[in-house]
Amino acid sequence: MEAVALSLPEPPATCVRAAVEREVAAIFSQSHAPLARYLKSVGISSADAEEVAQDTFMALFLHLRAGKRRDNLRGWIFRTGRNLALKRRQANSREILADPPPPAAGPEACPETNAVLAAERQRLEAVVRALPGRDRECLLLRAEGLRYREIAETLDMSLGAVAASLSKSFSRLSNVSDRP
Amino acid sequence: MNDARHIDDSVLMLEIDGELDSAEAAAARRHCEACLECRERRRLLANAAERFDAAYRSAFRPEPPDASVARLRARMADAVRTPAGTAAKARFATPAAAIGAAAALIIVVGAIEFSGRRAVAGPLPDARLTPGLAHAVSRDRVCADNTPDAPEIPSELAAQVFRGYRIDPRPRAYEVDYLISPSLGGAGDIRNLWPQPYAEGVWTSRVKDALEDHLRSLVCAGRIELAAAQREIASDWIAAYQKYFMVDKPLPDHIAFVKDRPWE
Repeated sequence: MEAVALSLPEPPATCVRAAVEREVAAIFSQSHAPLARYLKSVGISSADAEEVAQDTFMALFLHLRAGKRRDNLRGWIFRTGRNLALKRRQANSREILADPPPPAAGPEACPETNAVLAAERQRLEAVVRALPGRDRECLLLRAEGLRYREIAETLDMSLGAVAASLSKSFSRLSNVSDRP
Repeated sequence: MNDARHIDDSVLMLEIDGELDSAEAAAARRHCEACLECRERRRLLANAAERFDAAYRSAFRPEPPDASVARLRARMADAVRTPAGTAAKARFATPAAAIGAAAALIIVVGAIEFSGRRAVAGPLPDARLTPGLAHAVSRDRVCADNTPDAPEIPSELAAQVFRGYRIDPRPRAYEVDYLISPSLGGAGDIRNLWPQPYAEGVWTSRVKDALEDHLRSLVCAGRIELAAAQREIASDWIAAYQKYFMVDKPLPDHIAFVKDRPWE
């Protein structure tokens, strides 16, 4: 019997594009808030963080539409956002003061819980502010749920360096946390 | 100080966060069971991480991303309509916003990029002559007045604008328009004014007026930042119109929209 090469028709470009749009929108829903929070920690305002986040996900859309690599996408997103934020900060030519701190906890939390959390946060914030920039970024990216390899990609560090940075920071934080 | 017989803090951290493979994690746990010092260091690190995470989460402000998702979707659709090269350029030309803290004015510079459709005095201004200029005003101030009227442009200033664009104005042919409208904080300065054809093509001053009203309502509803609205209208108001009304061409109602008088 003669062999017949089977070839499936390629999906139309519009279907591919729609699939990429859906995928980017889904990733956006999951990662937008963590990315925007992280971008603010890089030293840009809320409005700029929102703009940079939008640009980052547009870059992701073009990246995926061009069929480029898909491994470690979250690391890619945070790295791209970080680079854009640093450019934005430089373009603004001055450090923008960080936004005022948000309320300590949601309205459903009881006042005692709010007070304890606020005090704890103040103590921790003082230590975090004193950390070197790279250590602080590792800490915040981890708090946003990034895995170590994603943090490594974002900050262009080795995985071992991320672990060393985090252990050093938590070691300092543990000294403070244990004090009243 | 870590002894060679003990586990390094960074390995403990990897184990706490589940970053080791199962064999390495099991070995680390076995060691900690047998080693009081490592067990104690692990407890302190895990405790600090847990407390930091709880404090960090408590600072979260819920940010429903609905409006942001809609905006991203519109941008993706816009990028598809535009040829790939131009889309990428247009999207990532970051408008340089020179914001002086002490200055009374801010210059919002649009993407200084000249494409084929950008005529010297067409639907889009010449960015070298009209980069856009806005007062440093807050959203509250912009939204305080329900029906803001654009200040009359002095005839001498309008004449300067025409001279800058090397145009000998025909009556009723142009509206000397604010690039960033006063309703969005735009300044009555030559750097924010250009002669826009009143009824040439489809992207007329009437269509832009409709966009200005829409952007102001979005700003006042808290759906977009004032600075973002200023940047977008200064960079490319046609792209902003397409994005916010999610259309390629002006809506029929907007083509007939009459708000400002033509320059006579």
